[in-house]
Amino acid sequence: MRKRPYFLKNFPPLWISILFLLIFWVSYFWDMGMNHPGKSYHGIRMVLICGGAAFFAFRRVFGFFPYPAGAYGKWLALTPWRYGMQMPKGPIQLNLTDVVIVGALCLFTQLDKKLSPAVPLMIFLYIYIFTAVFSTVLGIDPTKYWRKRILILIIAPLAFYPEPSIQNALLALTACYVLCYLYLRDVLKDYPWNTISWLVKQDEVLTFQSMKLPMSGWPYCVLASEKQNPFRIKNKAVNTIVFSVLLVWWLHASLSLFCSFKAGSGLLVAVIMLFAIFTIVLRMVLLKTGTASPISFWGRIFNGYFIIPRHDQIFVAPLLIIAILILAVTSMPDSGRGTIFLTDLSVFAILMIGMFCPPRIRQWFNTGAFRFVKNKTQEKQLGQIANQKNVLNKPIKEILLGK
Amino acid sequence: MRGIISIRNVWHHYGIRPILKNVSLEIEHGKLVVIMGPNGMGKSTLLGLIGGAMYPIRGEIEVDGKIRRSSIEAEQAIRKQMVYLPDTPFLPPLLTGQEFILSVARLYGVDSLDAMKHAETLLEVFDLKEKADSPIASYSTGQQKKLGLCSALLTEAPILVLDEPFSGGLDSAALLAMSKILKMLAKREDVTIVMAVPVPELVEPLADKVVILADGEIIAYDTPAAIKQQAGGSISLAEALEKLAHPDRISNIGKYLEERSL
Repeated sequence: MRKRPYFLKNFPPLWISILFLLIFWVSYFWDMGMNHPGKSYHGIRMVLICGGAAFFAFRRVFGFFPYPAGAYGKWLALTPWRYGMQMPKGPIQLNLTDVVIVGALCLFTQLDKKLSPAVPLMIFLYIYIFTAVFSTVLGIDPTKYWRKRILILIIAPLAFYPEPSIQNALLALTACYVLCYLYLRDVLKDYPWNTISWLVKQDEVLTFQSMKLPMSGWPYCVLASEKQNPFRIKNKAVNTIVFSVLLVWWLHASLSLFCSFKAGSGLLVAVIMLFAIFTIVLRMVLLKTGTASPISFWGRIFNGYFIIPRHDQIFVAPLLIIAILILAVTSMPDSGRGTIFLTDLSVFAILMIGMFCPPRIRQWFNTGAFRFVKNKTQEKQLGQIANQKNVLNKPIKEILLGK
Repeated sequence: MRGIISIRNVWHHYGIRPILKNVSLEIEHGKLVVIMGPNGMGKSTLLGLIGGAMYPIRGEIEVDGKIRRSSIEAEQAIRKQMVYLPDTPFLPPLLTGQEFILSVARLYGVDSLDAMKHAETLLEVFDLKEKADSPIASYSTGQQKKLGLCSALLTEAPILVLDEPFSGGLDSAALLAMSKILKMLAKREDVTIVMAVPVPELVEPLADKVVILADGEIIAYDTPAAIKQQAGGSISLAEALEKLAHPDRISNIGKYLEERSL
């Protein structure tokens, strides 16, 4: 079998290319030949073009990056491959073949002229960049290479903010691609990586598993002392703030895209409400799962323990979030740019309260005034699974002896 | 003298009625202390509070100079040196007995090889060797109780808090094994054991000190001999418990027997 030249290794598999062209051209010539208006198959062609761009983008990352847990990554680890050498499966960074394929998809849009020629390019670049930058963290130290990722997250919304335009989109995505290229270069330069599977000892993995209910039961799982995570994220507070700012920035850009400033503020109130409910529910689930108040409601009333500060502190954040929600709803103007800014500000405040308002999870589970209670649902589920598997798991000797 | 476990002015309620009323107790290092008393008088609650599964409404619990739940560091330090086994723990039904006890040992940082050797011996002692590779779901109640005890012993924690280790369907061999192991541990100066046992006959040969709880209050805390003395001299610990915890009951029993024989 003849080997493909290196620059063509990223060309899609031949059968997929032929199938794509076949469906595309058959539908096109069918439309040309039938010539009955109103019954065109251009929709199929649009889906094919956009879907093709998306598929190709995903394939360019997932098919060509040596993820440490994947077969390609595991195989590459056994070879003397280092950065600077050609990658055995083909390049992960874009090359002329990608330009030709995406360019062809852009040209195909001109047959029907129902789609802007920039659309397949934008779909391809968005998916490629985001997949490359965020999926390649799998198995590699997650605390590294974050600067370029953040820059990409800052620049990417400029493709459609303040106004969606092809020029803005191309400019922003080009800048993102340059960063993505540099990011992939940095990642590959560090090969062989200190992968998680190499750094974490089997004992540590088992110990982490032991802290879960299905491994050590109750109360061992809740009363176990904490174990050091080998990948501790430093400056958690800074990371949290950066994450919140980025989320609000994306929200702002997306809302500017979808909301007309002249329209009523109903959608924006709904967005704030959604964030508020999500944050409250998430916080309460995280803090209340497996814990209960040290005393019942009636016990509190009859014994005068109306407020137990070290327990009731968990209600402070939800109350603050509700206050922000009420404040935002009552002071929301009917229209204007201010509505979106007020939404941004409210969402940011909700996120900050959700993440920083005491008690933090670790603080709560070590110092909170609560009772650890059994998680009945999980125990029941485990019991049911056990009943189904019980006989199968029994040693053969026991089954034969009828024990 | 300040003990390794200090319980200071602890009150606890679940609902309206207080379960523990102003309980204070000092448990000395290296001692085996047994909490006794009638049902529903707060023995398990007190052990739950010492073990860290509960938090007192009032008062505080100090373990080795650190107050429970006062800070992350203090709580973590306490958790490392204490194992709490309630009367009815939840044992993971999908795991085999051996997998489970080794998993618990890992939580306490016991060396894998040591844990394996120790586990093998314990499983043999408690007659669980044949079941070691079967899922816990297939264990009887008594076997599950034994496995729970094995897990607590395997942690090698210097403070053991055991709620009713002799109950729950243990067979006579397991009772004997458990009392022998506890006796051996009680002799060690680096191991402190606090447990609730309702059967005075099992307590007497083991306990350094006995706490008698009644109506949420400590009515006696002393050596078994001193408690018997307190209750009236040459009587058994069971009688002493009855006399101290509920003096009316003996006369009630007498009355009942009298009535029935008529």
